[in-house]
Amino acid sequence: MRTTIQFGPQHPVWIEPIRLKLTTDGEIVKDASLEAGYVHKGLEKKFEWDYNKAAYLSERVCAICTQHHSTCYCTAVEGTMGLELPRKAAIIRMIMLELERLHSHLLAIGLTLEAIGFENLFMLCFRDREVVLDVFERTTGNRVLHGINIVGGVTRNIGPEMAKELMDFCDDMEKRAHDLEKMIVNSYTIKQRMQGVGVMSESLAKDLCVVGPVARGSNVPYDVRAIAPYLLYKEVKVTPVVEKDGDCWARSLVRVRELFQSIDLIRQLVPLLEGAPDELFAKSKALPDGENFARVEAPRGELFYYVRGKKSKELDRVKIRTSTYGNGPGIVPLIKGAHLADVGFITITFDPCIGCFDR
Amino acid sequence: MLKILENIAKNAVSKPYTSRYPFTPYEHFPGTRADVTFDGTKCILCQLCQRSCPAECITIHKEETTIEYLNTQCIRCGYCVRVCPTNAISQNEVYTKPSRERLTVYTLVTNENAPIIKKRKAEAAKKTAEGKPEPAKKE
Amino acid sequence: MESRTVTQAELQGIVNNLKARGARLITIVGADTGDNIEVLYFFNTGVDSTETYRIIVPKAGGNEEVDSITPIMPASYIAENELSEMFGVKVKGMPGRFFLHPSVNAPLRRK
Repeated sequence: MRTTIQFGPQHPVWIEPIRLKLTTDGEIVKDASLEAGYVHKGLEKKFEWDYNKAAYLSERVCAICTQHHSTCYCTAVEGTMGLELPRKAAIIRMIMLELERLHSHLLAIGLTLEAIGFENLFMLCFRDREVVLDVFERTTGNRVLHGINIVGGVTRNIGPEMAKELMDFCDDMEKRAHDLEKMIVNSYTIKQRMQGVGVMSESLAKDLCVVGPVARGSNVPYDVRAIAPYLLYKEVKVTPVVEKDGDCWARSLVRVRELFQSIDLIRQLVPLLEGAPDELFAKSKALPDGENFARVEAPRGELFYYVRGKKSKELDRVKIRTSTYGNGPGIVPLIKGAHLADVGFITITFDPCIGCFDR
Repeated sequence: MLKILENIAKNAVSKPYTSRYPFTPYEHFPGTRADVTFDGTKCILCQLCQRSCPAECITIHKEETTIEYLNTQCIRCGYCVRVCPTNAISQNEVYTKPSRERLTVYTLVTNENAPIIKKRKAEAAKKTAEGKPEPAKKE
Repeated sequence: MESRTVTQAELQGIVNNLKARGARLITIVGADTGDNIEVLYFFNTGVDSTETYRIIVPKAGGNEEVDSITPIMPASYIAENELSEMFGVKVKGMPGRFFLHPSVNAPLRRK
């Protein structure tokens, strides 16, 4: 006998509202449909604004991947104006991007562990995340919503004392990340709960064109830092972290291993600050004209901005395609055939950011 | 099992990780961007900050020579601090406490070099200079 | 940014070719330029190479039609729904509604 259950807009396992209509037969889910739009703000219409002020608006699309949105928008607009970014500004932007990846992955691992009920380890992940937010406050002035990216460069500098504090932070963070990894990877109960649940096969991942750790957990090595390098990723090479199974355990392992990759990248970038000349942004009298697009690897996947200008201070059209927007249709085939108790948990391992999905 | 016992022993001896927030105030790091203050002795009433604010919370009244600043609407982004030509705007490290009404701050501008104040002083000086020879002529 | 302007009939052949080569779709973008509505398709074809194709649809007072590429590439389902909802350009075979309430019509289109 079939019953319809609303996994409604408000549920304790998610932070943001999204609606899933499930048709179940006993405990197994037979059919599902997805409905979204509860936080749709119409931001693409508001972006037809002064291009300097829109840099502050692009930060506020998502609060967890702030720096990536602002970097991608500034890169796209600088391409239409013909500006060239100074070397020190590019290094400062890359250090901020890797720090952002650290704090976002710690949050995602913590939420996954809370969804299976392990609250103590969720609190330990957030305790380590506070150290990263303190580093943000010392360098940029704010914990989230930093506001240092402008069209043409950055506004704050990193001096020699701050560079030494960053290297001490890297050693401290690596010790904490090793402790976390030991507790998660060598644990018997977490592995038994997560293995074999919500399997996405490699052919389905290639058909639906999913991005981010969801794709890399299913043996598809797609990482924008390796395929289309932006900023200075040609000097500091990145190899994608890939797992073969495609279930929830593989996706979480990809995120844990990327923590160590980010700490290693920061250690390679900080010594490059000394050799660069002390120029922070490029001035010019040009106005945005023509069209351009830019791509960046956000913690959740690939982020894409398309900008078109009309030779005045206001922009003509801005289109944002975020990473959860590409992964969203991938939830529905995975839920069909799963137990009802696993539905919320499978959605959380996708790391959904519904503020980015609806805009 | 051994790791749990070691953690229990360590936690029983050390002090708690959290701080008692409302009783001990939070110390921000130097360089934090918090409330915005205007300096009336340096402003020249050029309206550059009004044109560049993304949240539209600054209004300059030229006739009354005051700056109106809506504290609750400001997003503390720091764009006006960068743009001001005479460095009259600065950001300190103390945030406003939460309140139930919207806060507005008025600042009076007393800078001698502002074009409007200079023009008014020149006109007032010209009027007193014209007023004196006339009674002498009548007599 | 380079792009090629093609007709709707040519696009189906091009997309079949790209799928056989192993390319992936990034997204589909619509833009309003006064007299026409332009639809841009972005594909990623390999290391450091992307291709862009453009279709020009003249405005005809509310009910233009475009062919769908979802039978060839299933990843374009959500992008085509958004195109038909925000600009009023109907895509054959798609429901055409995802975010907005039924009483709102094509908000990004300029009069």
